[in-house]
Order: sequence, then C-alpha cells, then structure tokens
Amino acid sequence: MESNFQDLVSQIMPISEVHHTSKKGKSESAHSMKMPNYSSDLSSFMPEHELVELLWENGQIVMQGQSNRTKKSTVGTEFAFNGRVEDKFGQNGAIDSVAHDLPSTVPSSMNDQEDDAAPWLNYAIDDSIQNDYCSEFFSELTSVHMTSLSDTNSNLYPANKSTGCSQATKDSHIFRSSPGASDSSRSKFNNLLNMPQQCHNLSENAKPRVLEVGISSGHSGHFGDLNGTKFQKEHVGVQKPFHQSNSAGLMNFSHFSRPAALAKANLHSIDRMRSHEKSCTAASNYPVESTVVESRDGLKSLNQPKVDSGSYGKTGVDDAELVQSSTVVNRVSNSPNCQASSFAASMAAERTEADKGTEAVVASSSVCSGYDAAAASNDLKHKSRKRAREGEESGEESEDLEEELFTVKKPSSGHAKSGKRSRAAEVHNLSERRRRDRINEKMKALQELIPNCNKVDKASMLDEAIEYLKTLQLQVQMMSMGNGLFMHPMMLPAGMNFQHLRAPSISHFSPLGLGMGMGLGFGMGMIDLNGSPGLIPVPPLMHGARFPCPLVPGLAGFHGMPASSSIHSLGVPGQRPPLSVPHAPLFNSQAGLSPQNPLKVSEKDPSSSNNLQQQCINLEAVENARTKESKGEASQAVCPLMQKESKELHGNPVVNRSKTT
Amino acid sequence: MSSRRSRSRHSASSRITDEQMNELISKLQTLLPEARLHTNDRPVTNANAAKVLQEICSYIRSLHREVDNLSERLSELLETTDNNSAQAAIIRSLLM
Repeated sequence: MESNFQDLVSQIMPISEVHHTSKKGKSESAHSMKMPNYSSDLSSFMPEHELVELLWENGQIVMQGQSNRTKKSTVGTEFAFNGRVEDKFGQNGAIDSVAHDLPSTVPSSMNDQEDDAAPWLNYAIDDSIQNDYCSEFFSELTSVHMTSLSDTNSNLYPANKSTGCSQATKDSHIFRSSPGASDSSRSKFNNLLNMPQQCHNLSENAKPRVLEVGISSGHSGHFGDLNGTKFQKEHVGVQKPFHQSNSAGLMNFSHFSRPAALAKANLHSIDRMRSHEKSCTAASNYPVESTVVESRDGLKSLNQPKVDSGSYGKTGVDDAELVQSSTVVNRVSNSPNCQASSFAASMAAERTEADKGTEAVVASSSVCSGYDAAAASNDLKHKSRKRAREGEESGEESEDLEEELFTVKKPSSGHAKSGKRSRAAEVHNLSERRRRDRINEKMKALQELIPNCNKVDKASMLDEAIEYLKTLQLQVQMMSMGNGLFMHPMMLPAGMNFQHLRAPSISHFSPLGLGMGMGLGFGMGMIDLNGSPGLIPVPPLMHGARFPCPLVPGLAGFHGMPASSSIHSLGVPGQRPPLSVPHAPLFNSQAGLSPQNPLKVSEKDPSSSNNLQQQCINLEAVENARTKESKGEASQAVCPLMQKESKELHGNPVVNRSKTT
Repeated sequence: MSSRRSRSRHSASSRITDEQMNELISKLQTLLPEARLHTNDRPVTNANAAKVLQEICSYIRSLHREVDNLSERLSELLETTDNNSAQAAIIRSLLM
C-alpha cells in the first residue's frame, strides 16, 4: 500500500511541483512545454466518471473533482489548479488551492458541476474547517482581525464568521489539548457537522473568491489578495496585517521558513488532518490543513507569531512529521530558503522524514509516507492508485514532472528572490504605513493650528492651511510694518532689537516679494520722525525701492547702528526697480491715512531720491553712523542679496551726500 | 502584484490621493521661508511630506508668536499715540 502510495505520490508530486514552477512563472516556459501534454492528459484522465469515483472516495474524490473542473478551466489555470490539487493531495501544500479550485471550477463549469457541487460541498466542509482554522488564527489575532478576515472571507464563509470562528477556536483548542487522532477526528467531525452550512456557503462563496482573486496564483497570493483588497479598504487597524499578508504572497513562504513553530502548527493541523483522514477524506483534510497553515503563517507572522508558536510548540513528534510534510510542501511550492530552514526544523524533529525531505521528490515521498503512516487510509491509496493510473496515462509527463521536481530547487531560488522581494515589499508596506501615520499626525497638528478648521477632508484642510498661512504671513507683515511705521523714536532701539529678532523670518519673505516689512517701516518711521513732509515716499513707489533694503536696517540695528541702517534704506530708493507687492493696496491706504503723503514721487525720479537723501543727511547722527558703517557690517548678517543692497547703498549715499552737502 | 493592486485600491479608497496631497503640501512648502526649506529643491514626495508638514506646523507656530509679539508692540504703540490720530487708527486696524 505504502509503496503504491509513494509511487502515486512521486508521480503526483512532480506534477505538482511542475505546477508550482509554472505558477512561479520563472520556469513556466519549460514546464509549460512539458505540461501541455500533461494537462491534456489530465483532461483526458479526468472524465466525469472519475469525479464520481472520487466522490466515492471522500477526500480524494474532492481532489479529483477539482482537478477535473480545473481542466475545464483555461490551461494556465488548469496547471495551477492541478498543481494545487496535487499539492493538497501529496503535500497538503495549498489549502487555498482547494478553495480556489472550487471557485475557479465554479465559474467555468459551475453549471455543469452544480450537481457535483453538492458532494463538493460536503467535502467543502473541509474547506469550512479550513476556514475555521483560519478563524482560529484570526481569533488568536484580534477581534478586529477576525472581523476583517471574516469580511474578506465573508464571501467565502459568511456563516462561518460567528459560529465558525467560535467553533474553530474551540476545535483548535481541543486539537491542541488532545493531539490524539481520535479526538482530532471527533473535533473534525464536529466541525463537519457544524460546518455543513458553512461549507455550502464556502463552496458557493468560492465562486466570488475566484472572481475576486482572478487567477489564483499561490495560497499566499489568495490570502494576500483577499486580505489586501478588502482589508485595505478598511484603512486603519486592519490594514497593517493585511498589507503584510499582501506583500506576503511570497511572504508566507518566508514565514514558513522562519517559524519552525509555525511549521509545527501546521503539523498540528496536519495531525488533525491525519486523524481526519482516517475518518474522513484525507485529500480534503490536507488541503484544509494547508490552507490553515498558510493563513496562520501569514497572520501569525504578521500579528501574533509567538502565541501560535507557543501553542504549537507543544505538539509532539507526530507534529514534527506533519511539519516536515508541510515543510516539504512549502518547499515545493515556495522558496528553497524556507525549505532549508523548515527542513532544519523538521530534521531536528524527525530525521527519517527529513531525509526524505532533502530532495523534493524525496520530500514528496516522505510526505506520502507520513500520510500513510499516520492515516494508513485506504482512501488515500485508492486515490493514489487513481492518480497512478492517471500518472501512467500521463506516463512520460510524470517523468518529466519528476525531473522538474528535481529542478524545483531552481525555481525555489527564484522564489527566494521573490521572497526577498516580498520581504522588501513588506518592509515597504510597513514603512509606508508608518509614513502615513506620521503624515496624518502632522495633518492633525496642522489642523489644530488652523482656527475654525473643521474640515475632515485632508484636501480641503490643506487648502485652508495654505490660505491661513498666507493670511498669517500678510498679517505679520502688516503688523511689523505698522509697528515700524509708527515706532516712536524713543522706541527705536527696542524696536530694532525686536525687528532683529524677526529679521530672519522677514528675510524669508523678501524672496517672495513679501518682505518689505521692517525696512520699509523703518524708513517711513524715520521720515515721520524727521517730520519731512515731502519726503514720505508714496507707498506704490516705495515698495520697489525698499524691498531689498528692509533687512539691512534690522541687521544694522542689530549691529548697533540702527539709525545708519534706516538711513540707508531711505537713501536707496532710486536704485531698485519697483517691484509689485501684493499688499501694495494696504500700503496705499496707510499712506493715505498718514498726514504727510502728498508727494507721489517716482522712485526713479532723482529729485525724490535726493530728497530722501537730504533727509537722511539731515539726521546728523544718522549720517555719522552711516559713515561709520562698513559694508561688512551690513552684509554680515544678511543674505547675499542684502549684501548687494548694502553695496548699492554705500555707493549711492556717498554721492547723494556729496550732492546735498 | 497583489500588493500593487491593493495599494492602488487603497489610495483610491482614501479621499485624497498621494499626488493631490503632495501637490497641496508643495504649495504649502512654497510659503515656507527659505530658512525652513531644508527640502528646498526636492519636490514633495511621500518620504518628506511629513517633514514638510512638520516644518509648516512649526512655521505657523512661529508666525503666531510673531503676531502676538507684534500685536503687543502695536498695543504699546497705540497707548503712546494720540487716540484720534491717523496713526492710532492704523494701529487699531492692524490690531484688529
């Protein structure tokens, strides 16, 4: 029996591996070349009566039926499905594949298969069980996760959510507590009993799943896709885990590699499966297990790996075997790295099987042997026989497949890369999420800074922030201008200091054309103080001339020569071309208010400049200061632009001075 | 592929896309004084959006402080000026 089974397994396994490779797509071309025949053979192999037979043999029946259905589907999908089914059969690798297979089969051949679907549904119970397992995982996670998962799976397992989860958790606990086959079988049965509705739902739901998933690439892919799409829809809490899961099409594999504990967990499930196999259908159980494992891996890795590991760490040798099998499956399906690690774990646990596991084929055989040992179920053998027949039919193809099995390692290397990629993707997702959190945080802070900002929408909030920032800048500018404008001479020093403090910010304004503030204010203030009526530069004209200057006075003041700086600003007017300033109107209004704005002198008008200069000169003290002032002093604190200004100032004032004097 | 899809969906599901957000944030960035533009030449990206926002927040706070200081000054100035003078009116208008 065992030998037959192994043979079957070997035949099957290669195919599965091939499928895996094809799935992975790296070796697709070669495999596809080989595979087409195989697929055709399979299709030939998989007549409907086979389905009937399969139904006869519970678990196996399911498998075959799926494969048949997959055959109905497109070639590419067929490969994937076949591989999956086989995986399930031999390796229990892709539980997802079971579910996926169901849905996939459903869309393509649903009409034809609805009758078949009924038996399927019965077996689909296993799927529901899988769901339960998943739910267990989820339950371990957080309730939110549970809900989210249920949502994602809702299409698949609407009924399962509440009942299924609770049952699953209970069942899982039972399983854990009683690793014995009998107990596990009981629990399974219970699950089955409880689950039938769920199973039906699942089978029915499988269609939507398939649709959503589109083509089911990998188990991880399934979960990832489902989780990713739906969960991402739920942004906040749910997103993280799912992002990870998403990233983890490959991630799951990596997860496999990491946690021996997970593998053990898988083994647990496998153990259960074994027991179930005896009682129930091995095939169905296996796929269920695999799915569970996968889900667990993804979720665990993402969420609470520790718990799972701990709980699973309790599992015994049998578990280890199961782990090995699972690892084998993982290998085949996944990356070599994972395999290596998992193998190491499995090796530690049991070397007998581990030895088998070293080689992919061996691994498959080991898996088969493991199954045989555990289940020793005739059903499996029957299945294997059937498959063997199929394999015989496929004959050469199977050999090719075996070869491919050996070559599986190659794809696995590619998978390793993909695993890296997936890891990188995971990291990216994590960082992305962190970034998003940070941005949201800042956005909140920004919102709090904006008065009367009740916008929930980020875009409008940012718009408001922009507007508010503009008005704030304008306000500061105006206020500083006014401050300088009306600054009393006595207050000048203080004002200078004050302005000096502000200088940097003002300097920022200047490039934007906003930075007239201080200097202009100063200039005006000076004029006011002096009481020279005609000299008051009319705002529009002033803007251009004063703009560059403003900083100088402040800085100069800082240097301790406030008066001189202000004078400079006054002296400059003609030099600079007028720049249009946004707040010009305001200035005008101010000018209008000021009693002494009669003169509207163009900046370029020499007379005006002369007048200003005269005024400046009239301030003897200021003049003295100016003479003292050196370019370096003025420029030190100022930006290059300002330096330029100072130069200009220096140059002109002298001339003016000479004129005036 | 799944991640890609999910990401796009995610961005679509959120009310504001990354592009929109970055655009708005870059607008805000242009309002920042040069001294605060550490990421001056760089366009706003997902990576530095948070930084820019942080900078904007601190800048707004500094502007608030400035306004407070200036209003204080102006109020002092107002006390020293003739209540009926045009200066006082202007200051008052500024203090509003």
